[in-house]
Amino acid sequence: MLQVHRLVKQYKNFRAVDDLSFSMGAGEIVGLLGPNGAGKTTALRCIAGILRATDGSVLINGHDVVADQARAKAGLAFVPEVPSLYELLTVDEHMKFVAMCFDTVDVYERNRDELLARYSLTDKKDALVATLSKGMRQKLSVACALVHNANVMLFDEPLIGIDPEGARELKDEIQRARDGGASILISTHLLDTAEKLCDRVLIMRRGQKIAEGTLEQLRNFSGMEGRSLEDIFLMLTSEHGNEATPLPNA
Amino acid sequence: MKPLLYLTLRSTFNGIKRALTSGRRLISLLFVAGYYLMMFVRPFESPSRVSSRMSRPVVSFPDPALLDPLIFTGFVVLTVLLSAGVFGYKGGFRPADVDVLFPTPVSAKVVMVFRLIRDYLLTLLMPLFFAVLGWRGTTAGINALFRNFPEHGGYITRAAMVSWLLVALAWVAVGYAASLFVNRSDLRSDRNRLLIGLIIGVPVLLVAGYVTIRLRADFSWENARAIAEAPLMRFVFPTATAATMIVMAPITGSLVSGGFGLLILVTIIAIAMKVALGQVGWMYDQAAARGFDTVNIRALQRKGDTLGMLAQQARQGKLKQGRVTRWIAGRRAKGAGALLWKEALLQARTSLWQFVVFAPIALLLVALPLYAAEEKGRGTTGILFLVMQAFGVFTVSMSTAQSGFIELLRRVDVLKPLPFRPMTIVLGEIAGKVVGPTLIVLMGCILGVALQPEIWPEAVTAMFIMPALAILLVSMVLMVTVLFPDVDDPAQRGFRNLITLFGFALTVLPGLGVLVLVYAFKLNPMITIVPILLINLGISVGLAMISGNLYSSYNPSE
Repeated sequence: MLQVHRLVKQYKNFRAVDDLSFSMGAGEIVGLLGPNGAGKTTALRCIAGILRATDGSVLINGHDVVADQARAKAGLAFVPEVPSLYELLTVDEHMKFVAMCFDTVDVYERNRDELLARYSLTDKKDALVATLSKGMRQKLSVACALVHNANVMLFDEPLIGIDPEGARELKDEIQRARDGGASILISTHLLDTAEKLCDRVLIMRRGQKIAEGTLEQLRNFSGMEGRSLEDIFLMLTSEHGNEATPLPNA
Repeated sequence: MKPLLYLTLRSTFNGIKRALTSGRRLISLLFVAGYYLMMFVRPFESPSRVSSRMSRPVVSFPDPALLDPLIFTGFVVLTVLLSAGVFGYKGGFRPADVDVLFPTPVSAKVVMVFRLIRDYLLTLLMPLFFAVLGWRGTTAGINALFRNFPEHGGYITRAAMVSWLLVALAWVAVGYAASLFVNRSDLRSDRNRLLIGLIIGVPVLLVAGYVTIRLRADFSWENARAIAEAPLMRFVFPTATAATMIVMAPITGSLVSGGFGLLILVTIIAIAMKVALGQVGWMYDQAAARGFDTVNIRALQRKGDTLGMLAQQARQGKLKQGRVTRWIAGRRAKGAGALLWKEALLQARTSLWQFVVFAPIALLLVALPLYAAEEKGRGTTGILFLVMQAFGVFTVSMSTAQSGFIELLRRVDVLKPLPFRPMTIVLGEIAGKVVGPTLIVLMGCILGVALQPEIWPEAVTAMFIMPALAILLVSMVLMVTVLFPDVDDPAQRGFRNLITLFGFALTVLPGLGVLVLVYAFKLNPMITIVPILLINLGISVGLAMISGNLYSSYNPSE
């Protein structure tokens, strides 16, 4: 469903993403982990077709995100870290606008009430986005990602700024989408959440993939039997981490 | 296209609806609406009503052969205005576009065409603004212009309109093509920038040099006309040349020439559109790769928040500690003096570049008329010296005051708990803002006397009245800023600027009146020093008191 092949994003003298390759099948949640500046957000934006990759390719449902943009993006949903939304649209208008972009207004109008209720947005339906709190904006951003039938979902730090109830709801939503056959890529710093939620994780450092696999595979690879993802992550991403070791599953 | 139209219309409608919910926003909206209504309705008043209130000037139009260079010059001016921002980043995307619109299947080409149309419509407003502002003069001028060709007047006006529509579209398209070409995030962008810079910059420099040399040799109307007709000028400004050919066609009767002009413009538009659409893949990349720093800086720019812009640059590690700031930081101050110390430190860190940029311009403006004056001595040169000094003071005061006072509002939680009265804080802010303009005035006076010693009375007068003018201007900006403190509201921002200008006109008038009287009676300008000082400082104190009261009740949460 999602194939990333030798993706490179170069900014003049800085290589933000360096030769990143991985693929995801249906019904899978993959955690994209890495310290600040590892290139996670840039990679997600390249996959979402927001940034133009310097090299490499991204296929969504078999369609190239550059050459066949419309078809590739039709199955994609992207939830950014700090969602910037159209402040002068109401909550309902915002969701309707996104639905119009994906040509799924009918679907949206059928599911509107249920979707709004699920994210506690019913009371705010006619409120301007400008008047929403940070948490409500995050919920709206997630709700917007669900107005069309996306089967590849990209989440950039989706749980930051959401209250515990909303966070629980979002995690359930992600799992429901996975059970429905969607591929979900989540960039996060919350390692305990990643450990519980993700089927696989991919660890990046300085733009490069340094490890990929299930928690068990990472434990074996790092020689840290029985240790948490946090311990493994810190060991792999430390300055003196295991740079020369071949990657599992790479 | 439908989702984009929906977004634009709903945002505009909701924006207006939102403006109606706040008293201050409503006042601003009504004022702006009234302003534009008046501007757009007045020109459509019945001719009898208009003519009863004004007498049309009788302009005897020169030889028809002069029409061509005149029209060409007009289009050259428009071309220069339109081409000024050709290198600038044209994305103009909001963060919401990047997060919400870009990941959707809406075609990037559709997004680009939509934005191009929007920018085109905005560009078309440019001459309308000037025409509306000077409607009466403009209509009288146009009538006089075509007096010799009454039978062709309609055709000429239509040809001029078509030319303008095409020239504007050509430059918007060229702007998109050039901007996308030079602002790419890949390694080729530097090379592209150099290439386009050379293609556009070299001919413009050559023309500037050519015009200067020819005008220096013979500064006459005939020579200016010859320059406008020179093949080099016609070649370097192809859009102006083509537009002139179209407008002149009904007069000369040369339809071939008009058609050729049309062909040139359509070709330029087609090529520019093709290049722009060919680069569309980089459009989203530019918006996202440049991050929101550009968007944020633009938003701050629109608000006139220079300090905010510099703070943004500091976050990016682009602001360095200078020697001057280090020296000031090492000083000590007591009590309210700390406000001045803070102000000096901030000014040195943030406005030193403005001083470095504006001071030479202001000095050049002062020096040029003195240098160029053929007859030595006072009189017109002295008046010109004072006008230029006032212009310099106005420019520097405005640039430092507006941004500085936005900072005053933003830091209200830091400043208000300090053990000073609001009036003290306000006075400290005003004092800090007039240092720059005063220094420039002093330098201008020294330069003025050095170039023309005869104007020493004007120089002495300027040394006293110009700092007082700076205090007056700064106080007015402060009062209006505190009165309309919502820097995020565009309607209030526009309203604030209008009120500031209106306030300037009103408060500067008494001092100016004194000066005019003195010159009318051919008296020594130095006798204006005391009255102007008293008038300007008196008004400034009044404004500062109002500002102090407003500031004491200012609540950033409201």
